[in-house]
Amino acid sequence: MIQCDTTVKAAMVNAVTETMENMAFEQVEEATDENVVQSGNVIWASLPVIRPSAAEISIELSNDYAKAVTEALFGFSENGPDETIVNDALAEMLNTIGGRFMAQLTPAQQEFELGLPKVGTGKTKISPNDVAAVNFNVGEYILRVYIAGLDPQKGILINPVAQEGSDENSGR
Amino acid sequence: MKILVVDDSAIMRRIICNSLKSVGFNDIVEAGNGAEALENINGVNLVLTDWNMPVMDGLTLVKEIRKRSEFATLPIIMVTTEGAKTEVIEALKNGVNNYMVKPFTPDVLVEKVKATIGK
Amino acid sequence: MKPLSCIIIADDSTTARMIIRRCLEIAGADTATFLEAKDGKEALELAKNNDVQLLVTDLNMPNMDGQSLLRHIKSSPKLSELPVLIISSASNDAKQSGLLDMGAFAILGKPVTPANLAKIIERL
Repeated sequence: MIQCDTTVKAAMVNAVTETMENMAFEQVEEATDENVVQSGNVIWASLPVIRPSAAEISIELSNDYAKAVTEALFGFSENGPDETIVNDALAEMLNTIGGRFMAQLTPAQQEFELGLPKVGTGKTKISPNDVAAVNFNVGEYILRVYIAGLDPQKGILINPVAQEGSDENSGR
Repeated sequence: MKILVVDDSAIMRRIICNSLKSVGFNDIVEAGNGAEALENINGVNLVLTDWNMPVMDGLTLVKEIRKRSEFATLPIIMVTTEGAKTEVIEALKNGVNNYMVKPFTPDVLVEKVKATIGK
Repeated sequence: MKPLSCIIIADDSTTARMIIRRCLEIAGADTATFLEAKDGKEALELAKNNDVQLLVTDLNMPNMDGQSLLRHIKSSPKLSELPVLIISSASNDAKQSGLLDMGAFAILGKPVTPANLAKIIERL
């Protein structure tokens, strides 16, 4: 895994905390164990970041947790929520996390742009050398967040604005 | 315009493809190394290639491409990490048209493509 | 505060629309009728055909995005006075000033909260 710069990590912790608390009324805690293993079947969602840095943010969580989050949002249903609504909820969750994340790392006078989220089953297709992982405990569940598009040496988003010599710590 | 994206990292290829698609380049073919790239090069109008790849690296790929007369003028942009200056100089000497630092945003890409292809 | 009897919510995400509605109800719009749209085109049709006091919209939507929707509303003689509240994950200061110049009533980032919404709707 790429070692995430503290600013980038803090932005992600903040983004996930704020999103889960306000959307699903859930308390999240950053997991200190790097080698967390998801049990059972997993589902992932990925979100492209287009500007000012080209990156990708993905989340990975167990099917059970995905269903639990959807029920926290929409209320309980007899046979559990259907796939369409689970995918919709995850996409919106990731879209919100991504937005909060980029809003913290982008200079206030610069716009940022996100792509469209995609959801799929099974583990995300990533290689550990290319991503940083930030893990969260949510009750009994684990939420993994992967950030790709980081400088492997510096752990920061590779940002063209920063490369031109302006202030690297461009978070507000 | 058909673009060939060559990089051994699946995520990097995905990020590059997202950048390309966001400005309307939807005809994209991918390869994980130079050898795969050569298998998929027919009909391609632009090559974006990483440098350090297994099986066949970027420099070897460029040399192989330029060996073929039908690809003598095929535009090739080297996609590199920051600070690879000596590599860039060697790349340009061997027939690369331009270079970009990855991952690049759509604006940088469009600029470099225009500069390379002259649209 | 103007009584809100009919509100349009435009977002391509079912989850987002549900959350916005829930927050609006908690923020004081609990007697309003909510009309939902999946994109700007649907939202514009709803605005033309209903007596609406507030349009809440996302930015990133297929068929017609939030910015185009805002432009259509503000340039329509019948609808130009309709307040448009933009709720988007891509919101920051830079994004906001452009949209305010185009006539948006306010812009909020996601996640949206009842408290943030209450502050906006009391200004209506």
